[in-house]
Formats: sequence, structure tokens, C-alpha cells
Amino acid sequence: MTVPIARRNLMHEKGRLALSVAGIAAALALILLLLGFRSGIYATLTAFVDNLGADLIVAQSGVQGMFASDSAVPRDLHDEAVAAAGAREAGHIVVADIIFTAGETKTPVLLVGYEPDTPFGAPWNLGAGRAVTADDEILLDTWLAQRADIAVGDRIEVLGRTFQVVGLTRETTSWMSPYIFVSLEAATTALHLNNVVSYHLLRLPAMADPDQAIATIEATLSGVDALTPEEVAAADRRVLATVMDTPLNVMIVIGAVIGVAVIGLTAYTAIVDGRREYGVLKAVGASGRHLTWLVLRETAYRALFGFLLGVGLANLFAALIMAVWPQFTIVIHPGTVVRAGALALLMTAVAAWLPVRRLHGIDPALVFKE
Amino acid sequence: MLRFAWRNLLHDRTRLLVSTGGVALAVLLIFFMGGVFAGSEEHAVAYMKNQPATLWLMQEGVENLHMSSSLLPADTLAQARQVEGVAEAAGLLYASGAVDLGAEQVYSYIFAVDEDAPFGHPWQMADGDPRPGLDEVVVDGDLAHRYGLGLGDTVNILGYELTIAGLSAETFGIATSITWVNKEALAVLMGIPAGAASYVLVQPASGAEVEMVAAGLREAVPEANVMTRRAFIASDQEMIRQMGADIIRAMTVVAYVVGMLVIGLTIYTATVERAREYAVLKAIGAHSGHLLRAVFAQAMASTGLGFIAGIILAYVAAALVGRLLPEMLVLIRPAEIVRQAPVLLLVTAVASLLPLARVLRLDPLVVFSGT
Repeated sequence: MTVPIARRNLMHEKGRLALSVAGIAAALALILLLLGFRSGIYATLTAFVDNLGADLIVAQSGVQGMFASDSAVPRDLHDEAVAAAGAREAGHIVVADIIFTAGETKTPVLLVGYEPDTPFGAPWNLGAGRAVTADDEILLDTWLAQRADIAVGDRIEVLGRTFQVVGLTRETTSWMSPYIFVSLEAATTALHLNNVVSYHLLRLPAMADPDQAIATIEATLSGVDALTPEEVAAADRRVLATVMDTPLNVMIVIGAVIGVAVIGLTAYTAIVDGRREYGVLKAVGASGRHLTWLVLRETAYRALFGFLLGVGLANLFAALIMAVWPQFTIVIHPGTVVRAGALALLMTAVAAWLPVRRLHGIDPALVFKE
Repeated sequence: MLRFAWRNLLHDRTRLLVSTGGVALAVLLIFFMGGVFAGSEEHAVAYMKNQPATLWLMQEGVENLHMSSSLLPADTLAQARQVEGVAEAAGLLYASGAVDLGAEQVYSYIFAVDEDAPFGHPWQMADGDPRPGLDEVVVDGDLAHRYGLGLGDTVNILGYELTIAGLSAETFGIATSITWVNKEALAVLMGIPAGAASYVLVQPASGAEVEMVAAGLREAVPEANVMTRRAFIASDQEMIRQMGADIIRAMTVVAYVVGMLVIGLTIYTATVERAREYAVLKAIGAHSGHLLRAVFAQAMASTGLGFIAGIILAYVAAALVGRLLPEMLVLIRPAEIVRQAPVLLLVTAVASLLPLARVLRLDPLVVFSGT
């Protein structure tokens, strides 16, 4: 008959077990939230491109993305682009980074000027109101409107021009730059553009070869590049990586070190408090390897409970954060959870090192002293 | 009782070290996060801070540089120069975009001023020429070094290959790196008239009243917004501060939860370990109040040590990161440290609740029962 020493050790002091599991869970939840925050930024960054409705995007040569890009293409390239690509539908958009100011709040936003009578560039999820039909109308992201205390029907100023808010959009929220929409003409005038658009958008016939269309466009028209929405989205993610990855990775490393410290603290505390019991085991003949395995199992159990609770906590905190601060999107992929689990295993192995060393130093004669 | 508390804490130095370390790391995370945004604020306004122009003109409705679009008519510069009290003025073209370095694309502010402009150029150079020709560019020296580039190498901006003619200094930042190109070339790339400007920088004459000159500029160029450099800088800093405020708040809450659990675990374990001693004290007449003070004093001492260690770690981490990653400025502000101290005090009080409850429940008869 074997005695479940590891399990009994764990359950002996329930208060401490609860605290230690909660500590590990909080540390892992922190790491999952940071990873989820990064995934969320990437997801919302390309939401507009993903819903553009175009097969090909014609941009100024050298411009590969929409994020933090200034693309300027002559407007009257329209017919040539359509002919070169054999497109069945075409449109234009203007896209620009601006700062949306309402009272004391300042928010970087992406201003999109689109043609309401084309299928391109319009918001894909209208939460309230209607689409723009005139040059003095505007659509705001729902979170942006709430933050600035603006409702449908209000009149607001953007780039010195007055617009009436006719609708609020959904899925256009982003911590980096939420979207606002006006007509193409309104955007062109507000940005003082002269016969220039940011991108031409093309929809190809059903069986058309996009690569062939791209090659033809770039051979026929000078000063432009033709890209698929997937290429534009990938370029945006690459640029974002150069901006966000470094600080986020440093914070994730700090989070992992915190996790190691918490797991190590709980394992070490358990060893110290159970030194009499371990002394007894040593005195009755338990080998060093057996005791090490005991410690590792206890530590692994705590880490496992902490990991399971941590995943739950991370999802709960993510939901709470997104409810309180809707501009954040936190996406915790299953792959992220697996990576966090592997990290927890590694942290456990590192954290158990000091308690195992302490364990080997326990004197079995301690048992007989008191 | 305080000596008792201190001896309890010091009884197991390794545990104290690990728990102090846990608190210190939570504090480090909080200050590091805040420091990243504070550093971004500084980097974002580096260009404005290092130009001598006291007044800035921009498109009406615009009050920022970072993540903004502004375009002024081609005759704005000429109009500004004619205003009474204006000593010098320069037109600045600005675009934001990716500088293609071959291996990677790096987001950058792209600035351009006329070659003979009195200001607007790089304020410090590591090497080469600060005034790029038509097919030339000035990039940051640390950025170039990171990607193995130097004078004479090429980069691609908006589809054009440009030769690195100069290497600037103090212009490398995350999302705030600065690159200079030729103004004529940039105007062509942006599809705008050669004389147009995104911003016009104005330096009042010595002795001229800044507000008077600003008023004159507003009258001469009614379609422009005129701001002092100080207000312009404050506007950009405020915008970045607002961007970071919510994320910092969210992650700070989680970091404090972690810290609270570490403190709670340490003090709870120390309390359980010393249960007999607490029971003896109770048996010989010590008030619960005395014992609670002892527990709370331990918690405060552990937190205090962790807080100090965390501050030191934060400054060390900021210096280390700055050395290894020159584009990342982590600015730890003393005011932020003062602001977080009472919050940590509150967190410590909450963390002490479980150990406090344990002490209150202790039965003095434990002493006599031999258990």
C-alpha cells in the first residue's frame, strides 16, 4: 500500500495551498493576458483590410501596407488600372492618420474616405444609424463615440470641417487607431488632396488570375504596386511587430520571472515547513531521488492547478478588460494556452531547483531531537 | 512587538528573499510599463524639442504631429515670413511610413525641409551630411548600425531607392524614429506642390512678443492653426499619455494582484509557522491588537523591502534596456513612484487579511496541549 504523501502534503494546509495556487495562477494569467493583448492588436489592425471587399489594391510604389503608410496615387489612373487588370468593379479610397479631438480627449484614428455607391471601403458592421450619403456626414466607431460622449445626430468637427454623425460602427475599434468614415470627396477636401487617392481597389472576374493581373498592372502603370489584401495585411503586421514586439516581449519576460519566483516561493516554503516530515522519510530510508521526485510532484501539482486556474482567470480578466475598456481586444488562442503551459512547465523545473537543494540538506537526526 | 515581527520575518532569510523578490518584480513590471509610455512621450516630441522655432503653423483642426496629417497651401511660408516680428521661418514636409531596410521595414517619421532652411534639419549628427540631396536620405546612426548599414548604402522609401548620405544621432525610437529626405523629392512622392508644407516653423525676432507674432500669423494665414512649441509638445504628449493610460491601468491591476498574493502567501506562511509563539503571547495576555500589529508590521516590512528593491530594479532595467535597445527609452518618473506607494500600502493591507484572520482564530490553549 502506498501513501499519497505528495497529495497529503498539498492538502495539509489548505489556506496556503489556495494562496500559492492563486499566486501561480495570477502570474500565468498575466503572461496570457500580455500574449492575448498582442494577438488582439494584430487582429484588429487588419480588420479594415480584411473587410475591404477588393481582390487587388493598387498603391503607390513602395507602399506595402495601410498601417502608418502615406500612399498617394493619381486618381485618373482609374481607367488604366481597370483595363490592365480586367477588373469587373473598381473604386478608390483615401486613408489617413489623424487625431480625433473631442473636448479633452485625443485619439489617433484612421480616417477612411470611401465612395458610398461602390462596394469598397464601407464599414462592414453598422451598429446604429445609417451609412453616409452626403459629404457632410460621418460614421464613428461605437467605442470612440462613447468615449467622446457623442451620439447619432450630433455635429462634430474633424480637420476644421463640420460633420453630422449619422451612424456608429462595430468591429472598428482598435487601441492603435479606431476607424471613422466619411465620403471620398469629404476626405479629399479635408486633407487638401489634389486629384490624388490613397488606393485604387479592384474586383476581378471569378476565374481571373490575380498574379497575372498584378504583373500586367505593374508593367503597364508606372509608380504603383498592385497587392492582394493578404499581402497588405501581412505588411501591416510586420511593421506593427517592429513597434510593439520589443516592449511586449520584455514585459512577458518579466511576467515569466515573476511566475518562477511565485512557484519557487511556494515550493520552497512547503519544503521548509515539512522538513520534519522529510526528515522522517529520510530516517526510514527514503532515497534522495525519491524525495526529489516527491518535491517535483508537489510543485508540478501546484503548477498544474495554478495553470488551470490561470487560464480561467486570464479569460475572465480578458472579458472584464474588454468590457471596461472596449478599445482593447484580447485574443487568447489555444496555441497561446499551450505555449503558456510549456512555459509553466519550464518555470516549475527552474523554481523547484532551490527547494530540492534544501531538501538534500535536511538532517534525518532532526526527527529524534525533539 | 515590532522586534518580534522583524525576527519572524528574518527567521527564514531565503523565503524573505524570494517573497521580496516577487513583490519587487511586480513593482518592476508596473514601473517598467509606465516607463515605456513615458519614454515614448519623450521620443515622440524629440523633433519639436530640438528645433528652435517657437511657433508652429499647421492645418486648421490639427494639433499634433504624431499620427497626424497636415497640409498647408504652398504660399503659407511666404505669408508667414511677411508677418511683423518673424525673424525666420521654414516649411516642413512630413509623412509617416516604413523605411525599407532590406531585412526589415521600420516605421519612421519622414521629414523634409529646404536645403537652405534655417532649421528643421538633424540637430545632431553621428556622421555624414545633414542635408540630403534628391536621391539621398539621413537615417539614425543606431538604426543603421542595428541593420548593418552605413554611409553609401541604400534604403527604400515609398518605392524609391535612396543613398544614405548622413547618420543622425538621438533619433532612434520605437515608432518614433526620424528620417530626413530631400523636400523636393518628398513633395513629388506625396503628389503635392513643391512649395507646400505640412507644418511651418517660425522663429520670432529677438525681443518680439511671441503672442503678438502668433496673432499676426493667425491673421495672415486664417486657414492655419498656430500653436506655441510648448503647447504643441504638450498636445502630443497628452495624446500618447491618453493612449497608454488604459492599458497601463489594466496591466497594473493584474500586477498588483500578483504582488498581493505573494505578500499574502509570505505572511500567511510565516504566521502559520509561528502559530505556537502567537498562542503563547495570547496565553500570557497579549491583546489581539498587539498580534495584529505584529502581522501587519511583517507585511509592511516585506512590502517595503520589495518596493525599494523594485524601484532599484526598475532603474537598472531601464538603463540596461536603453543600452541594449537604444530605440527604447524607459523613463521612470519619481512622481509615479510617489503615486504608487499608497496603492501598494492598500494592497498590503488586503494581503494581510487572511493571516490576520488566522491569528485572531488562534486558541491560546494550543500552548498547553503539546500540539
